[in-house]
Amino acid sequence: MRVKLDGCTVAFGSRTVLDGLSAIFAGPSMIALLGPSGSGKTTLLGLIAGLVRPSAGTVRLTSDSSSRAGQLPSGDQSQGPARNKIWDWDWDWLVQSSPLLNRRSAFDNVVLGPRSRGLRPDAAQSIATAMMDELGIGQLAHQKVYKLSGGEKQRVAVARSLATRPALILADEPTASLDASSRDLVCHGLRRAVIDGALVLLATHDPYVASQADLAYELADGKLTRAS
Amino acid sequence: MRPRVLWERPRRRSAKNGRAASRDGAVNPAGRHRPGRGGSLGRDSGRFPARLAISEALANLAASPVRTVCVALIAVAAGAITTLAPGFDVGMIGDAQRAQVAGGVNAFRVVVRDGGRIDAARCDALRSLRGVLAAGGALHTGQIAATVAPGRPVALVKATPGFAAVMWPGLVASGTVGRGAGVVAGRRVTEMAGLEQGGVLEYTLGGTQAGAGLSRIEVAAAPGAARVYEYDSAVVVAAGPTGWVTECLVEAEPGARDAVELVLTRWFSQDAGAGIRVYPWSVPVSGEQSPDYLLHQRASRWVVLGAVGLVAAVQGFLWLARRGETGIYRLLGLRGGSLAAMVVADQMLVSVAPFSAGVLGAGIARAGDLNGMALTMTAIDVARGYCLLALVPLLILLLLKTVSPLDAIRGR
Ligand SMILES: Nc1ncnc2c1ncn2[C@@H]1O[C@H](COP(=O)(O)OP(=O)(O)OP(=O)(O)O)[C@@H](O)[C@H]1O
Ligand SMILES: [Mg+2]
Repeated sequence: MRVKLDGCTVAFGSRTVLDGLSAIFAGPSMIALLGPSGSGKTTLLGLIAGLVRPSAGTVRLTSDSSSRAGQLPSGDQSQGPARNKIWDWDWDWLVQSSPLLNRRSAFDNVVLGPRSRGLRPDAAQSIATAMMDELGIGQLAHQKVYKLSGGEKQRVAVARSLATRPALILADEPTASLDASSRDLVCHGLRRAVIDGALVLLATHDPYVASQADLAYELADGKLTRAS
Repeated sequence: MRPRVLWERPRRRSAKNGRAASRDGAVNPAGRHRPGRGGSLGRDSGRFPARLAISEALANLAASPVRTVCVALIAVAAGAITTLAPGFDVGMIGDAQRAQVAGGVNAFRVVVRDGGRIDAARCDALRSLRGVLAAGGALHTGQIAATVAPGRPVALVKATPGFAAVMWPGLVASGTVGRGAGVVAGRRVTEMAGLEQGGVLEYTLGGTQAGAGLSRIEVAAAPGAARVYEYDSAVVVAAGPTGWVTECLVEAEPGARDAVELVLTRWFSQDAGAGIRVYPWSVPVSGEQSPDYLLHQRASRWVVLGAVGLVAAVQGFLWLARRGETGIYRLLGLRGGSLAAMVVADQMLVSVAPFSAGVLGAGIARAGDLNGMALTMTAIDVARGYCLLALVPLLILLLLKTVSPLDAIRGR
């Protein structure tokens, strides 16, 4: 997965948030976007998602099949080559409190991801179970989401994302309201997505989370610079 | 010079080799996935299986049972009220028609000028009233010999069978009138005499008129006709029409006034040539009281619109309120046909099926009233209801189109 920004400018009224920004983000990797509040991190993610229209420049997304050659998640090899179609590149969107089907069980939410890719129920269920166990929410599988804590919900969202295996994860402060252990589990999940071949773009204020990334960029005054 | 906005994205990889079908020549499929719009999340459509969309719709309904039941009850009520509403109108129209009959409102006076004349039988064939009198129906004064009200004077009309049928439309079906049986007319007479159908009324003609003396006639009509009329206290004895008349009164079926008026001139001009004039016998009831008006302007037409409109409003509101939920599915690739399948499955269960249940329930409960005009109106309204209900999923899909999935899942 490659995201190529070429001279992208985004302005809201007279305020130029992104100023002729060019960059290439190539996966699989986890790339942190740092920067003060209002510097345009969310805007940049929205630009990549197609939510924000640039006033100039192009955004190019390219799927790179060699990076997607990874196998299925834990222990499920049964589907064979037909799976390639299912694991088409995709993206997912994680935010501070990621959206979930609140009235449904955590398990239903996670299963939905692989099912939406056309996986058979049994295969989707085994993937979902594996992901939930990995994120420490296996015992909450049948709890309704609205009964879960914020950290647990966020882990359900990350588990769904992992089980769906999107090629690109745009994460906007996904750990902002979490305690240290939930944050570690979410970071672990995102790293796991990278191992599975995803490009993770992560906007964050948290130095610890940024330290988990392969690369960190700093966004300031509409320009992107490599952070040390 | 830089191109302005070029939103580019790769084609789907082909299923066979898993490689990008176009690595660098990324294209924007025309019209699709425009940035900043509902489809911006960039999934090629059709991947989210329709069957999953349907099963998710069902699971979400089951996950919020209270909401589902409440919404379904609204649709049940909509179906029931759509079915019941025409019944109220038919009641009103029936009342208005009876009032018209009572008022002789739908009657026409056919007058022959220039020395022409009309065959009384021809007049009778149109079930005329005055025409019968003009054709030799005799008006007498008599005495009722019934035990309840002995000695009460009554008017006697020797009339043709058609006379009774005109005055009491319900009698035609009894089949007895046409056989020349006598008929007792009017509420007052029947109450006075304590008559019931099949009974016998004895009457005495007063004065010096021919045929004076005790006579008996069979009571052929169901008494208690509500008609208030100058002949209310008349005893009607069937007689065949004879002779020629110069004036004939024709009463039209309720609702058939215009058609009858058109027919009359042609019908009578066979006898009387060009001298025929047709006048309304009395001023017709017009405006909001007339059956015609009620039939065509009936308020129940709008009931179905209001009922289904309410369902649509509730559904539209709910789907907008649940746009976060839909946004998740759209984020996961729910598009086009699968999204429509989800909405339609939901609507079948919370709108169409409960609406049908309401229609059925109300139809069974009021089966006795659902005949003739009421049945026709109900069928029309229910059919309209289903047509409108079919638009609700379209409305929902249009509403969802206005919300970008990312905005939706972020609660905007
Ligand atoms: N839709 C919009 N209309 C107008 N101005 C906007 C819009 N979206 C963002 N902005 C402005 O653009 C700037 C960048 O916003 P953005 O949300 O990208 O910042 P951020 O880096 O994500 O900040 P934070 O760390 O607080 O989340 C802000 O000044 C914001 O007010
Ligand atoms: Mg932000």
